[in-house]
Amino acid sequence: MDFRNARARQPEIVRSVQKDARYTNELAEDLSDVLRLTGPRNWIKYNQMCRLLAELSYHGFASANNLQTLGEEYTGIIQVDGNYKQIPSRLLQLIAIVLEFGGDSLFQRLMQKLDTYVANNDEIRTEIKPQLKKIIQRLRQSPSYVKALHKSLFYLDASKYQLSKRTTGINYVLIRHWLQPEFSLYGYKILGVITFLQVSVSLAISGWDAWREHKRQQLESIKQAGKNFLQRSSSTKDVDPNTPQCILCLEPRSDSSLTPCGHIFCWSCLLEWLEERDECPLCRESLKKSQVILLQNYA
Amino acid sequence: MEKNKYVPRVNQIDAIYLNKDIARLIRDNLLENLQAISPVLFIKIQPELDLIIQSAIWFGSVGKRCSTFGQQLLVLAYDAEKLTVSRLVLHFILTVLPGYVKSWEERRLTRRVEWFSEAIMWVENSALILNILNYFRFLKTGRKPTLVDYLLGLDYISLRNNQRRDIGYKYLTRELLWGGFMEILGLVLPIINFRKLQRVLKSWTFSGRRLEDRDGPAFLAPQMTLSTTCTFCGERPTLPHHMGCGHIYCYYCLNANVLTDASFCCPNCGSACPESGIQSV
Repeated sequence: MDFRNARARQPEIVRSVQKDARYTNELAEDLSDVLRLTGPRNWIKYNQMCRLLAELSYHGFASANNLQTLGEEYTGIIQVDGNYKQIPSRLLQLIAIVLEFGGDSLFQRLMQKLDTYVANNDEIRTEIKPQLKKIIQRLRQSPSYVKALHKSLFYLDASKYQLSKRTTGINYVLIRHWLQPEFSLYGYKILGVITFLQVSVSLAISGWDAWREHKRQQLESIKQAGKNFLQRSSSTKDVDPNTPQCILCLEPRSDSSLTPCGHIFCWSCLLEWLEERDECPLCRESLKKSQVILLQNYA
Repeated sequence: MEKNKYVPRVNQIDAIYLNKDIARLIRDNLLENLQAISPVLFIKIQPELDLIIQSAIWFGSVGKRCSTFGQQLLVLAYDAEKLTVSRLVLHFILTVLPGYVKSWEERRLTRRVEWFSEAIMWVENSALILNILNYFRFLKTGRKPTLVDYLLGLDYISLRNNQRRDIGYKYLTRELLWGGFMEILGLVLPIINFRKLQRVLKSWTFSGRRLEDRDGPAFLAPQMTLSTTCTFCGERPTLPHHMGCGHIYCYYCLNANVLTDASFCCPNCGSACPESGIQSV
């Protein structure tokens, strides 16, 4: 006999995870206070580890003693193995816990080492290295997308909430499923669709940005080639100490723009300022974007 | 009547958190009102005020009904048989007085007593570490969630027979749905081109008028007078430009619209921008 018909549903699992997160936050704060006793230097250095230590110790303690976590007790669920027959082995639970809470940092550390290896390795051709770096950069950003997709899958069919549980095959069942109230899961299907749409739109936006960046770089290289050609024919001029400077960016002015009150700034600096407020940066005279005049052939 | 000895661990922990929240609410509201009366006097006697408030809370909850406010919310209580008078006194001493002693040491002692400060700090640190150890012991045994309860040997009992705690899952669903909608809205709104949207909606409502006006002359010379204003922003035009329909715009207003929306039409007459682009007056 298995407990497949008593499988836990989305709200029980989500609420259980939320509750456990609350308790581990409290425990992390206590551990942080204890760490502070050892001195401010240690506190600054190891404060990030407090949360990880709290999560591992909390879940590890529950697993080692064959106990439910407080969140699981709250929602009345318990972990079972992939066959829905018995409690998972301790080793499997430990692997799930380490992957769930330490997996992110392990992955980032792995990407860091790979990046260093690519940068320092002599056998890799120099022209290939930038492409490899770009691929590694995209791999670094992939976990959040993978997690969001997995979450939308969870909302749609209520299988597993965490990736670590999916890799280890651990499931949740209700302890007294005959007592559980009946409620509609339709909202979670909508939520799954929304989450999937969100991931799709986010990926599309980042793809569009990357394509536009690529186009901009091509255009810039063409401009740079033209500029180099021009610069070769004319001699380089020294920077004039009397060159007028923009008050907003403190650099030599580019694309001089005049306001009706008579002050001159860089075009981009002034327009950026006018995004926030409708007044001249110097004299606070009322000013709109449409009143700015770009000066042609002005020093 | 037999006592119900089993209390889920999560209820005991939640009772503690609820009690902390309730006590903080009461204390903060009272102190805020008292501070408004006289700030100088308030600063002078704040430790005593804290002591009075904490004592009142304690007497109103544990002293009178053998249960904290958080426990009452979850229908729990201390085991009344074990809560003797001496234990009550000790409970008061261990829960209310330490805060007052610490603040008294910080504010009242004009001459710093080194050994006393170090003793207080040592006790505080020991209590913190012991609290964490007791937390793990509680996770295993399910009894005596706080250090004070452990020292006094006080157990929680349930005043309701094994009735399950009701969890409002529909609120969770609503919260998650709302959060999801907000996130996708935040993602989509910045990429919507509102100018084009606005123009399309306007053209739908005034399509007849626009079709009629298209039969007019293809080019009109703009007339610039002292009273001419920008068709878009309604002010005197800066660097006046036009798009062949005779209406005058600021350079910025016209070029920004044309760049944002390639099919930009004149708001007045609905003429489209010609291929030659905008021209100076």
